[in-house]
Amino acid sequence: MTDVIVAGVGMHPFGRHPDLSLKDLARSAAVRAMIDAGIGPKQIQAVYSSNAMAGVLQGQEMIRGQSVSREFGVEGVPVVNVENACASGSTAFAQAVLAVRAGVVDIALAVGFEKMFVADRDRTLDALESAADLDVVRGLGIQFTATYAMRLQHRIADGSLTVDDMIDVTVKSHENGALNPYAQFRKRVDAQRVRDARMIADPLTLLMCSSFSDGAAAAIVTRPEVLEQSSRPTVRVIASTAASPRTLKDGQTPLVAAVCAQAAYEQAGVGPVDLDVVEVHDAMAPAELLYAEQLGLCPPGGAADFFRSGASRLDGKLPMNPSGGLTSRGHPVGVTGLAQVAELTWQLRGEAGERQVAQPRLAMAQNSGGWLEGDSAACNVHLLERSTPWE
Amino acid sequence: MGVTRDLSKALEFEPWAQRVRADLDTQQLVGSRCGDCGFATWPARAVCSDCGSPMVSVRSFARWGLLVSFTVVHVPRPGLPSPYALGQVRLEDGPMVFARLEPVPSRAELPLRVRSRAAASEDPASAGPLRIWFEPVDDAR
Repeated sequence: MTDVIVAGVGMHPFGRHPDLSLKDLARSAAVRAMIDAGIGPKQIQAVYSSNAMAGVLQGQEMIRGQSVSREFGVEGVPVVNVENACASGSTAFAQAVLAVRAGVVDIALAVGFEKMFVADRDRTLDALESAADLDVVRGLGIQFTATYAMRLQHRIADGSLTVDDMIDVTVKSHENGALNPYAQFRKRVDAQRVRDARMIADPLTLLMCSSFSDGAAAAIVTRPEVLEQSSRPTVRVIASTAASPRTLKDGQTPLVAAVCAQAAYEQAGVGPVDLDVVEVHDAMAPAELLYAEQLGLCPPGGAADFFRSGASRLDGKLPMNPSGGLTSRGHPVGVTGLAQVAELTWQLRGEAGERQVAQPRLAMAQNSGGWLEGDSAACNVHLLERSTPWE
Repeated sequence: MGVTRDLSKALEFEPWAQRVRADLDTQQLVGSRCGDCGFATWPARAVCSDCGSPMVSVRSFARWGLLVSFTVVHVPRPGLPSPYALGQVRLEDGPMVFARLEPVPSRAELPLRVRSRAAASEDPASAGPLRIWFEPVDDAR
């Protein structure tokens, strides 16, 4: 398979940005990525634009990518507008990787941007509801907090997870976010505050849930021989997998994140034991526990033991969500997948500042999106590898 | 997998808007079952999503199921009581379904036997013609 590398990444810090438009957010991320890659706008040969909700929220139902790309100097090239709910970012990244791998273009940009804070909070909740099949769920009151809550409630009922496990992983998430200048929430929280926070969807309290967020992130991919050799460590994309879920049949239906992770390991010829750092889709902080199992980082039912061992902490054997994850970094829906790529690229290069994990070589990003009655509607898993040895 | 069928039958399946999801008289959920592999879905689908066969037909499911999980949602949504409960139910002879749950049990009771209910909707414009939910039942049925 042709080598694809991440030449540059960039992010606009997540948070509330009422004075910034989608153009401003996209420009921030794309320009930072171009500076990081050492290229100019005229070298980008394709744009994969990721955004989930600008149709409902900003009225920009169509050509969202084109509506922002001229702002940062890119025009004339193919623009593909990508939507896969919360998995839009990784889907856009996967298309950029494909285009470069196939030799259709030499340099491709994947850029995600989202503004979820609008005057009427209910509009944002309505938009989020459309990440499920509305013909099936309209009127039920499906919210993502509820879908995750049901998965976790089941695990509490069968005794394999406790509310304390959920609280403590939330505390860890916020500890990491406190070290991340790009995160929306940069304050540590203690267990009592998480426990006492307002109940959102039992057993999830407010502090366990990711918030609305505005932000942007971008990644530029190319082949190793295209740009001048950088003195920086090379980050290769060694697996890119995607799937949609199968209708739950019996207790044995594999979940989509597990399917994608397994396919990624096979594609790259590695196993979970080879991973050094992972970014997972913790739309609610306790989901990190579920994904540890689904991605094969620990045995089924073993999430609590795995977490309690300290393995997933920043200084552990397999740090999970060094960025703080969705819960404390925030979750601008169309951006998260690309923010994960940015974080892991920084980690692999040794550029992650205070939240740097120890000399990682192999990283996994799992980005899930939407909901189809019991599982995510979309998932992409990427494996990134630092091919320059650590000194 | 399975036999290669003439897919043109899939063009004749009744349109989505006409598919009844529950029988108001029997209070059973109504979905579809594949004639080739037996896979059941709710609501009905025109082609079997498990084996790809168009030999699907509309079927009522038995009312009883197991409540696998549920949650009580405290974030209000228009047209719903606050708080409200959502449940995940494995129907005894059919698929996994998600629906409202009334009254709300305690977590300690999971898994819990439940049965389907259906009534005319109070808000057909936004929620469709039927209101469907599940209620806990005791074991002596």
